[in-house]
Amino acid sequence: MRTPSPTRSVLRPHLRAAAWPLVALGVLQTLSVAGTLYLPHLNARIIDEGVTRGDLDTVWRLGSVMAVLAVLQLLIAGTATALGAYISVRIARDLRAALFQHVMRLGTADVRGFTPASLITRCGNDVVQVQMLVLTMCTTVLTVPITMIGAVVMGLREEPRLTWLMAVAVPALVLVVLGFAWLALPKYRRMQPQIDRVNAVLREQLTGLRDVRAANREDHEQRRFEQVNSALIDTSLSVGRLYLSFGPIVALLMNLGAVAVVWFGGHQAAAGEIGVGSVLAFISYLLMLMSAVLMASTVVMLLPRARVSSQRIAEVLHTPPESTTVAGGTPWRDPELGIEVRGATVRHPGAEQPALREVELRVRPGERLAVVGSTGSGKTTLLQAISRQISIDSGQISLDGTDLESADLVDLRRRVVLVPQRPYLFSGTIRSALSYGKPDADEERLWQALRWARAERIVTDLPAGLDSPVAPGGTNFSGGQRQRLCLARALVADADYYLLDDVTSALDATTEAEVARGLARATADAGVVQVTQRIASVAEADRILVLDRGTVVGEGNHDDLLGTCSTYREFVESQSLEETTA
Amino acid sequence: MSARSRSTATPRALEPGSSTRRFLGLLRPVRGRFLAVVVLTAFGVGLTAIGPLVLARATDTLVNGLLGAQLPSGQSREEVVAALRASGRETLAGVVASTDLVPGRGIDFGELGRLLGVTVGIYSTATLLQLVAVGQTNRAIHHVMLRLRVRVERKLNRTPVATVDTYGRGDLLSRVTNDVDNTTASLTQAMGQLLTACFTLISVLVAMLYLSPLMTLVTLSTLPLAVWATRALVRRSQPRFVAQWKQMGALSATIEESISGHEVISSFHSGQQHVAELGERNDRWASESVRAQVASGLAMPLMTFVGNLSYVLVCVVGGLRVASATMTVGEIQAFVQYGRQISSPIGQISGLLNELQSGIASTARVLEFLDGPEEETGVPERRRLRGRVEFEHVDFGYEPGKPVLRDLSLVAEPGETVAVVGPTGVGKTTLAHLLLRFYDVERGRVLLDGHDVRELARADVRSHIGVVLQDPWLFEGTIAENVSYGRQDAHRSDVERAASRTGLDQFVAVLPHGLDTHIDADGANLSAGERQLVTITRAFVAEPEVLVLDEATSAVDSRTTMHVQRALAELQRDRTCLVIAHRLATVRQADRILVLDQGRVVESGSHEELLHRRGAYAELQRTRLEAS
Repeated sequence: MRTPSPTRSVLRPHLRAAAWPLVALGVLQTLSVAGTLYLPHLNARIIDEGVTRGDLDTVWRLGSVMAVLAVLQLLIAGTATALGAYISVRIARDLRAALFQHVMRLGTADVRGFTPASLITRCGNDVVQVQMLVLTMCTTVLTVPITMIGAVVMGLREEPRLTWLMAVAVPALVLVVLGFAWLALPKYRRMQPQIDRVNAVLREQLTGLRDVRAANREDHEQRRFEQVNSALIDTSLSVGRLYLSFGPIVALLMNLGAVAVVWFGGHQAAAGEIGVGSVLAFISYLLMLMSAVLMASTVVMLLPRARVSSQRIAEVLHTPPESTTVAGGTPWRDPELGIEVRGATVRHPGAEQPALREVELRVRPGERLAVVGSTGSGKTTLLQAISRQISIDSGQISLDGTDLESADLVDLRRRVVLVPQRPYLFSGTIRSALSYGKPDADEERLWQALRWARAERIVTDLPAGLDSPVAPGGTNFSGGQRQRLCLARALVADADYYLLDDVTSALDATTEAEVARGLARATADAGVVQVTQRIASVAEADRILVLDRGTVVGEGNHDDLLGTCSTYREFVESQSLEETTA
Repeated sequence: MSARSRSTATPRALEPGSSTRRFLGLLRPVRGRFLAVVVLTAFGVGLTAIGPLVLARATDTLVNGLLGAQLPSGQSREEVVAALRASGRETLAGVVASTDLVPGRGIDFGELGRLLGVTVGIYSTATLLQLVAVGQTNRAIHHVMLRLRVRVERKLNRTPVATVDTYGRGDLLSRVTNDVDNTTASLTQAMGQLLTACFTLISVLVAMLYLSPLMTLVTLSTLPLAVWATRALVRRSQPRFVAQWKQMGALSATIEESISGHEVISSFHSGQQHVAELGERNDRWASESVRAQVASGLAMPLMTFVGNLSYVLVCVVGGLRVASATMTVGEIQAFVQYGRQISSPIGQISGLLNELQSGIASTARVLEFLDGPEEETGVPERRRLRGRVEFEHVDFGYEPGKPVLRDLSLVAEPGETVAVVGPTGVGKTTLAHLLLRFYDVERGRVLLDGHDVRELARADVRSHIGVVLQDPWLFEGTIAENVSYGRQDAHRSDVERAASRTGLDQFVAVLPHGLDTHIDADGANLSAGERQLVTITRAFVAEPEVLVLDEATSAVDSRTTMHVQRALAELQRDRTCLVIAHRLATVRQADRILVLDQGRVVESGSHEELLHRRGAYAELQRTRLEAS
């Protein structure tokens, strides 16, 4: 096994945080084991000192001592159980929180790389696997070393000449345990990604519920699910077989150990080397030792899965977050410089053609730049690059003269707000959804933004107004409503620059025109880069940038471009064609 | 349509008693295998219990041999005992008298070897039986798991859209993964270790009764205490487990929602808000989880305590009885051992009860979903429809008291294209929902070729209707797979033909693998326009009698739209078409245009007629022209 183990590296900080409770737990477990070991001793005394001598007082006295001891043991073991549960749950909670926090700081490309479904499994199921390991460690494993030491010491005291049996039996058992773990590890390594896939299919089906129903493809979905599911079931079947065979096989080994003690002990006894009593005592110590190993093995069986899970958690934790904080804030230089993109080239991993090639553009405060281009020409990539959601492969993008790479991301995103193509609202109330980017926004600000985005009616029509509920994703609003609410949310944030990615596509022309007017008022002092399909929005822009397959093929105002840029001409013609022929 | 309106959960599934019954009921389909496991386990445990007895005889052989070697040979055992008594060695005499040793003979290694061989044989057989039992258990459980998952999946495909909407996506996901997993894990425990523990308990009890019924009674006198304590703990921890898994669902929902909305989070750099929200849910889960585990984890120490108590009782009562010469020391020793042996399975059983409770709580959540309402199923009748669509005085609202459609009537004759326009949010998409029977009308009727759609099987209705919805949905797979989704028996050539008709072929031509290019989950590597183009092409492949286009081209740029419009025009020919649109240009060529406002049709007619009327449509048109 490689070092450092992912399990340890993932757990270390959390175990360290729980150091004191763990120490307390160790003490309690030791006391509890000591109690368990002491009871037989008292029993022997009852018989030797009480019963055989006919001393009933001693029987009663020792009996009550035993009863008191039993109560004490209950209290101690009970406390230990509670403490163990507390520690393991707390570690799971902290691990999940740390993992989730890290996911929230990952870049867009990394989230897409891991896939959302897999990240969800990692925050859920994988954390649970690690928690199970910690819980077992807390409840059983701590008692193991104590029991083992006890058994070895007693065994040595009883008969040193038979200890070689322990020296053989214990490593043999350990080997078997490790063998099981070695067999289980690749299976678990297969299993967790299979869980991912089952989750991914389920998530897809839930998202596309309406489409699946409309296409009458429920049977197909069922088969698709059964496929990924049966792969998972196959793996867990073979893991289960391994896991369940473990107990009987180890029990067999323990019993064979006892048989060996009788046989070899018998020979040594016959040779007059040891007594029979020693042989019998030795069997019980050997069994005690082996059952301690067996107990430790429950953890060993949990380890492979926890190891795979911690690896998956560590993978996420080791992916560098996109956030870079700059001490003392970002040194913005000249607010008049605005956004400057110089020679920006972006290549998506695995793509043959760059998504953006040597793109140049500039937007100053108060300026409105429209970006047009056909489907797949790189418009969205450009906006993502400007808000640094993806990084560029070459070239430079700067804001107010400061390279984005050296800007504090919090500062940057506060000043530059991107409104994505896909309108997504978080669940809660309309109020919480709107004040999302600026939690301290007052009610007047919210209404103002709603008016600008022509979303006022949506809210006033609802009985609870701003406190009306929003379903996850905003699915209780229509596409057009969602787009306007997302726009209002961005306007509440009061940014210096807005990057709008085709944000009015689902609106009717009347509403769109109204939104455009409201937007113009709302962003009078701000710089705007607006990706759009509509000629109407283009005409209102100060300048227009025409993209074709990632390259800027024209820049200027409407009239200039009509004369100089054939792609733009086609764009305009297609729109007017649409007007007349459609 | 709040995501949190689930308080009206079926109480049946949440009642502990009936949940337990239904939890065990999951084993019904594998009862044959289960019976085999019971028998195998019984034999296995039985043999394991016999093992120590044979081993004890081996030990006796050892003892006899050692003792015998010290005694003079040639005498009988009785003579040796008498001689020992005579020389005052009372104890040794007693010991020798109780054995069947042969004086003068050392350890009989042949006999010892035979007995040890038998022991090994017994243990090996027992292990073999247990391994077979374990294999059977594993198979049975996985059969149950497979069935449960398939049931859940089937249910997912039959649960009305409205019901699915009320669950959070993350919560539902948690139910069908975490809760199903936990249910199976618990069943495995129940079938495996619980059975073994029970049989061990029984075999020890039998041995104890055989030795001394009275002492058995003494040993078991603490049993009522154990039962009472277990019941009290279960009563306390069961609701905790229910709460714990509920919190887990809420936690999953938060995680799912946040990660799905990563784009927005990134835009506002607002991850901290979600971290705080998760922190809150996480804390709530943690506190419920600790409570559940403490309450149920106490079972183990409590059982150990009960075991210890009976141990003390045996010692004391046994001691008294020995004093009154009604019992021997050896018998006490035996009972003490059995007392130990019995407390181990009891402790195990109580530990397993802990697991089971957690499993039962999960089962309840799975069953709650499985018990939910279901759409009727039916096989689509493969008949040709003319494709007449009619809405007849339809009233509808997603929530009571909030009507979306009011007394709405419209007709689309076969082959006709009817466009529905109106401001955003007047219920245009709702028309598609009702026609496809995602929801059912409150009043009035929706008719397809004169049949009330509620009287037709949903699958039947949907098999005749092709639909392109507002939010394009793509699954992980190739573009070709996504396109052919529209029709089960679509060939590659159908896909290619459709792609060339919508212009999808031109766009995929620049992609490295053309139509076989892989699409990420959620279609994240395509732009919104490209996604819509794929779903439109999908509808082409389906060739339905009725076509519903719900804002089908909103995100496609106008140059692409031109292609698509041309293609759609071809697609619309010879079939009834309901176009829901906000871009007036796309509806101009419709045979009839309906203007919707406040859930009612306020105007209807062709483009020209409506313009002449100078009503709502003309007003929409005017503002639009002004806008451009």
